[in-house]
Amino acid sequence: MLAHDGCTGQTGRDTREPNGGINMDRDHDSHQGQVRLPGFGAAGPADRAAQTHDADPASRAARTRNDGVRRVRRMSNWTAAALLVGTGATAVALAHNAFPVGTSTASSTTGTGVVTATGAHGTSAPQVGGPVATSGGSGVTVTTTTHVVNGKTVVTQVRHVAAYHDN
Amino acid sequence: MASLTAVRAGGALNVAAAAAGSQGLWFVSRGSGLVLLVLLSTVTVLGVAARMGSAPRHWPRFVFSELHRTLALFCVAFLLLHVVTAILDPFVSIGWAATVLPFTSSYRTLAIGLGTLAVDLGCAVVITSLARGRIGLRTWRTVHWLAYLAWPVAFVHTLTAGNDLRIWWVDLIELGSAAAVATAVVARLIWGFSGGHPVSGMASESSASDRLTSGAGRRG
Repeated sequence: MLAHDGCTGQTGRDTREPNGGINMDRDHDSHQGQVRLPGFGAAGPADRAAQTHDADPASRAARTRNDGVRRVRRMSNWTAAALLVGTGATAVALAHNAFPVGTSTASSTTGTGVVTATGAHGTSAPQVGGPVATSGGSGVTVTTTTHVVNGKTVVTQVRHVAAYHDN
Repeated sequence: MASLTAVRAGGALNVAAAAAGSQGLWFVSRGSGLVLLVLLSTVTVLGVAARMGSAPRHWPRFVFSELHRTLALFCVAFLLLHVVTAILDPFVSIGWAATVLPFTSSYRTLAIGLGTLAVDLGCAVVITSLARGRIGLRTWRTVHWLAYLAWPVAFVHTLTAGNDLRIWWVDLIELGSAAAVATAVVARLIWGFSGGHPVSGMASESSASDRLTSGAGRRG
């Protein structure tokens, strides 16, 4: 395994100053290019055996086992990546299905305070069976009612403005 | 053309907002559940294949066994994601107790209870597999048969817990998973009734691969 000394991209530059002193500004050692990590300098026993005694059945078996382990690791890594991507893609696809592009329409009439929105939100998200009344603390209460019309969920919001009493 | 692009962009924004908003957990939970079904089916098929000693040509037989074990551990991770996102989701109230005790959820008691039952069975299989060296091969194998019960329970959970069966690709995932597991089980039954010799082991090969893996792990 090789590691690249890519901190600065300056390879082969002498750290010694022209006057003979050491450049103290450099905080990394001056390995040039690619260097081997400790422990990876020599080939493994199975590799050496494979190189020298390829015809030996035992070494061939060892090499096959090593290939198998490598294959399992590679497949496991790719599978993990695919699963993560698959989860994200599935979540986005489900969200896209719940909020289909172009099918959501909204109309608002300010005079009556009735807002009607149509969409497919209810096809997969949890649904509320009855009207829901909410208030933002401003005295305006919004009652939300959900109906299914022709397979589409129609959400009707009715705003009730509390009468203002000046004391 | 420009208006169409604007509508599409608006729809994409809606999707992004939903994913990032309060419903994001809901969608991630359902997405991870579908992925989990595929993963569980793959693990089941690989387990059957490893038991029968099936492997592609030029592949060591322990590859399937090792993949079976690794993907089973992936199942645990995705199960955690699926359960945690379902519980943290503000839309439904499932409760932490319902993750262990079946049929205690107030939301879709039967469907969520089946999922909990599948989790319990799967945990028993995974824990006994991790402790196989201590509990013995016979006990491990007996508990491992529960996997054949865990999969259909989980499958029914996916059919009943969500409202996604109207989506064609969800149907495709469900049907594909069921077909793969059914084929594997039928092959296993035929192999068993025809006097197929158990792979001397799946156990011994696994332990051999354990040694290899640990040895390789020390090297690499």
